[in-house]
Amino acid sequence: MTNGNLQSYLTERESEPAPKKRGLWAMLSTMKFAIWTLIVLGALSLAAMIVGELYAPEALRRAQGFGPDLLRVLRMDDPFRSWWYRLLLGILCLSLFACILERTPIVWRLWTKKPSSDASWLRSVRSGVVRTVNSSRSELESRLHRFRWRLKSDALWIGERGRIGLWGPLFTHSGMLLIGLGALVGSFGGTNTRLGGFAGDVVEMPGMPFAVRIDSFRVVYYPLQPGQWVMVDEAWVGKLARQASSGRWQVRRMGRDESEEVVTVAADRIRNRFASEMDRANIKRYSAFVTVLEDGQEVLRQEIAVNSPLRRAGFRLYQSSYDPDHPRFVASYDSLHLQVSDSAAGITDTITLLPSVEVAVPRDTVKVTAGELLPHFKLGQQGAYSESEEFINPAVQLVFRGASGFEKPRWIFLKFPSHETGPGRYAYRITSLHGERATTELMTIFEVRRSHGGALLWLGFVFATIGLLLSFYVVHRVLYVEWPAAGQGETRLTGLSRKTIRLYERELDSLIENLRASA
Amino acid sequence: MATPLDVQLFWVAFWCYLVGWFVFSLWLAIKKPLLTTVGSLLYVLGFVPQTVAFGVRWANTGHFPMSNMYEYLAVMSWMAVLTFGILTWRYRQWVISALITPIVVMLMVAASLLPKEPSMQLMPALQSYWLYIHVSLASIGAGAFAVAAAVSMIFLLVAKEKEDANADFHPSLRPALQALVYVPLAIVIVALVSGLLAQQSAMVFFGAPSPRGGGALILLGLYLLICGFVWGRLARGRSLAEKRYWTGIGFLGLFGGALISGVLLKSGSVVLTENSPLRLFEFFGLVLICGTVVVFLSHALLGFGRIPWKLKLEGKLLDEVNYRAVTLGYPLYTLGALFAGAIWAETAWGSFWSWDPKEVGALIIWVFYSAFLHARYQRGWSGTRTALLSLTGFAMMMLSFFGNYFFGGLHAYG
Repeated sequence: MTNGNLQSYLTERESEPAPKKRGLWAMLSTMKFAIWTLIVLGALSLAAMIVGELYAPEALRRAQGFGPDLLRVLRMDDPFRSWWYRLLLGILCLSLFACILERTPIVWRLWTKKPSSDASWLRSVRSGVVRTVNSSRSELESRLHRFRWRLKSDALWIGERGRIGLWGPLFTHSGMLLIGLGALVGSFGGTNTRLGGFAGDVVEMPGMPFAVRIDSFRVVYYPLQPGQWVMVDEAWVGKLARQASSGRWQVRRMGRDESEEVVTVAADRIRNRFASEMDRANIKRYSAFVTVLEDGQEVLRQEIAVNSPLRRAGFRLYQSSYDPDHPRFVASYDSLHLQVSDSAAGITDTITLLPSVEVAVPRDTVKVTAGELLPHFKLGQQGAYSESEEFINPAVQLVFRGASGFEKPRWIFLKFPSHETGPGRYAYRITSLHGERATTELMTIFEVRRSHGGALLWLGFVFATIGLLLSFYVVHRVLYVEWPAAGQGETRLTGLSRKTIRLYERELDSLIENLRASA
Repeated sequence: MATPLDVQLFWVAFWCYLVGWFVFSLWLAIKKPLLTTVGSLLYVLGFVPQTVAFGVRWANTGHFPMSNMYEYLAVMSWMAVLTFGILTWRYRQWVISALITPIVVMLMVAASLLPKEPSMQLMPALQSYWLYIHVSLASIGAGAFAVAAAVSMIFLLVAKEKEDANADFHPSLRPALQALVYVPLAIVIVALVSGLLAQQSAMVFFGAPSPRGGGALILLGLYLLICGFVWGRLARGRSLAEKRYWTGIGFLGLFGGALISGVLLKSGSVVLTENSPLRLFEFFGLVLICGTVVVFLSHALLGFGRIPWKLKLEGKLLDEVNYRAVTLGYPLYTLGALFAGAIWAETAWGSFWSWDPKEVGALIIWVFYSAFLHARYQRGWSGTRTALLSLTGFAMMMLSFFGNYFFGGLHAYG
């Protein structure tokens, strides 16, 4: 690398290579070392990816034999958090640091130091563009207005353009160093876990200084449109071809023998939401509305969706997925009529119950409260639950409380109105249910993450972006203008640049053509 | 079903470029200035509908048309045209237009093989403005790399360097034919001595299920690969120009082979073993088999090496255009594929980097082009060496692009 002198910077490639430096630090600062580290990192990343494709982590942990043993020693089940990967990343960072440390003073000198007025060395330059022109100083200066003149003497002018580009590689490498450090720091520690819940649940985890209450979760589907997989008549799956007319669609139905027929069906027979992998592409959005709780106080309401995580106190909650296989069916109602019969006395009363409102049973000390409604009652190991949102076997839980303090819940079935013998001498029967409705609730799943090194990564992105733009879109060009003595002879222009010299040549040729034309 | 307007416009552009290429090829032979005007006009006539197609598709789908592989490749070819247009204008060298077009045509043929049905519905993860930034910058960068690869191919096939002035140039197929005989002999001997066949060793090493028909593809591909290396060894004494020529033909075979393989797979003439992790190797085998045919065909089409030798093209110019195209593409690819991708991944998936196959592929490509730039800028690598790097980089990029057919992962949308 050049010593920071403009001449040696411009002619570096023509000179003999610098003698090899010895020592660990010198080796780290060489480009060759950094490139080899990058190549090894790239090759090992590829190898790790291929091993990952051939062996699932679990399969690798179970596999027997020398090959799997070796892969386990190398931590190929999680290669990018392995010791050797971190070591390589650390070496790369060290190498980048050494490069930056070595090159910063050189760039600084190139930036600040005035070029030498000795131009005799220009005669031996091989990679420059040399042209001669017959032109006055003022005219040439006006034509070369894009150059900033760093030296103006009677015999020699030295102009530069795109000098800011000199900083590009330094910024780029600093950015890459920061990104490497950020990745290294991020590979240690951190939190990565999944939490799920239904609407109304509060999710929290140890170490997270806040809790999140799920207020609601929704899945929005695209409207019917061509290309969608749809369920027709709850019987077969097809692909929507196009809308035949208002309210009717053409659906491509695939046979088992790969035959295909186009069937026209009414829109109300078609569903684009069904329990299959195919309907996933029809999902437009899924998101949870949550309330953040700190010390039991509501501090924030937010929607968590894909591409819109909740960020708080260093934690990030992502809308990772949801569980369509284990839904919860929730039903509600406005009121119900409960028939209370005393068969011994031959008396029957009907009372109206509102949900969760306690009402006294006539002529008794017992009080009854109407509770949960299950539209499709089933009894499982975990107790009663609803199997669907359809009102196939609706049941309401009634809770009886007596003056002596007893509390007795009991399920009453609407479609099987056998008179349930309640507490005491009465039998109970629900004669009608009003305003009943049921919905399906899905469990939302959040991914909770906390990692370190994020700030370093962001800073790295900024530095590297600036660096890349300066390095590749700002080209540093130097122009030496040697004036003839006492107005005799022609002015000699020597253009030097380390990049795209042919373009520079074209540019100078065009300038000379213009000068000649104007003369 | 009627072909959508944007696909029709895509085909209009394709035919304009193809005819434009023929016109420029004619210009190379007879050098009539009128032909450059006609050729340029055809490129413009192709570029306009291709640009309009992009807008039409955007309007039809209601979202930025970058959600599947056809759209990505279409934009990549569009960008390649734009890049070589800029380079032709900056360097005023018509020959760039004449010789780069095949790669644009190739990209468009590859795009035409992919499902063109527009995705009307963006999945939730893709509903972000980062889609525009990430995919467009990456495809623009990739388009520039495609141009660099095309220029490099021309360099290898056609360019003349100072030392070639008195060089002996008689590209002969003899070493290739020798290799085709020697290699099977060597393989038979090794197989007999060790009792280990290539497929078995692959199974032992990977412990993977054995593909039945695919095994033949892998073996034949492996055989041709070894033949290629032996060919290289046998041609050691040849001139540099001749070696360059054969290397160029080799890359032509690789890209052509990949394209033909794509056509064969698309048409169902060849089927890779379902769900086998070795299907990638089967694909490589198929590429090498088709590529070998392309190598011999290309050699014949190039007049057994005589046509490129007669074209007087300055190596230094091609070398600089190669470098310029890479420097145009590299920052965009870095910002788009890596930085914007990482930032978007953090917002959508919770992690800047997930080591998804496509991400690893992008990283390797980036490392490769970084090495290219350092080698050129710091070590003064140029000419043949940078041309080889450029072509290898582009081959890696195409492999990464189609990689999700073999590896799946988070980027398996199209």
